[in-house]
Amino acid sequence: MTRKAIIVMSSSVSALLAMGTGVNSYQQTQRDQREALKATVVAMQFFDGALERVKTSIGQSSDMREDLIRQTDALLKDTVTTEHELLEHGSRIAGLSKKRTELSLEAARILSDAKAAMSEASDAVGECRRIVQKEKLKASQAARIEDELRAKTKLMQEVRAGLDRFESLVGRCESLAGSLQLYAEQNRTALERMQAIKRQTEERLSLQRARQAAAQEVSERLSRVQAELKQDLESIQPKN
Amino acid sequence: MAYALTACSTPPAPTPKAEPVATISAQPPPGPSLADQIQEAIAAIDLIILRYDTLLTTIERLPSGKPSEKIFEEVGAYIGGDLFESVEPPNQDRILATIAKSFSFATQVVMIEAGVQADLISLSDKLVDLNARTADLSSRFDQGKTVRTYARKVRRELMPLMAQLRAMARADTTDREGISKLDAETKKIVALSRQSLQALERETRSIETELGGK
Repeated sequence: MTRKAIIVMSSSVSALLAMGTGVNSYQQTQRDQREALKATVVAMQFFDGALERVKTSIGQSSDMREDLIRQTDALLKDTVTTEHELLEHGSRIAGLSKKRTELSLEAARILSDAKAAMSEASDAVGECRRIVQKEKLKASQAARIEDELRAKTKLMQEVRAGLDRFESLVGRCESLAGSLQLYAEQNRTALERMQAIKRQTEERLSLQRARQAAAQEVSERLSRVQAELKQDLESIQPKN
Repeated sequence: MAYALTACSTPPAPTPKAEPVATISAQPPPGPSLADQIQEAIAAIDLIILRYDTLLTTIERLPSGKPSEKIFEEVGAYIGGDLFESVEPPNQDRILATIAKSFSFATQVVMIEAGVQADLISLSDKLVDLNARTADLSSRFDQGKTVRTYARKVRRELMPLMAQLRAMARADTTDREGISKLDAETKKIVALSRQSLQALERETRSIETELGGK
């Protein structure tokens, strides 16, 4: 009887122990699940943080890009203004070239006339000298004519100095013609370069705007992932 | 039987402390809990993002003239690719073969020169390992699936986006320098043109005045 009772008791105790172990195991599993859930929430917050960091970085780079776009846009406006200004310089230089041609012609004409007049005057003075030497003039007449000749010769010397100045002016006109031609060439090159800069700036501006749009799209995509993540987070977060 | 008898004894005698300790020490040490494993996975992702960011910075700082935008594009595509879907342990040969296949020859040369390729291989090892970890979590725990989903989103979407953003930042930097140079050139062109034109106008006026004063 005692033996039987001991057997019954021991089996009951074994069952209780087994039950206890099961309960313990169940509780342990529950604890593990709770801990794992908490860790998952932390993990989701980590993912959210990673997404937020990238979004912040996009925001900062977008602000900087906006500034770059403003700079590029300002340069584009400058290139347009400069292009117009260079075209206007081209017109002004064409005007100057025309003016220079007129001045050259005028200078050459004056110089030629002056040279001819000078030559004539020189001949006349020479003739007068011969006459004075050949003809027997009264002393008073000869003295007066000599005085006049000296005065005319002095005047001719002054005119000759003036002729030198005109010759120098003609030289300056020729030099100006060369400078104007060189400027016109440089202006054409500058204009071509400016048009190339304008094209480059337009291309860059277009690419920058495309990048800005892409960044915006990325930011929106990340926001969608974040929204999705927040929903998932709410669904798994333990309710109080 | 002895155990049953011991359990039956009332009141239970104070059990010597040494006994349970001896029992515990005899058992193999318990493995990491699910929470620990999730935390480890997150720490691994954090480290991967950090290493990846460093790698991208190295590429961004490559001297101008190197095709860094192309490299960013290829790195982003590689990281977001299928290689890291495998749950097999990291296999160097497979990683190297995929790198050789995924990157253009020019990019590989630049990456080797910049010392980036070794970092990429190391990062690839970590990504394969991470995938195995999250796959394991996913198979053992409901929320493990969520962790895996977002770990994949980080790799498949966020990491390629990080490369794309760096490529944009690099292009912006190049543009900023370029625009600044073009701006300076534009100002120089117009200033020189004005200066020369004014000199020519002065000279023309001077000749005109002298001729006029004949």
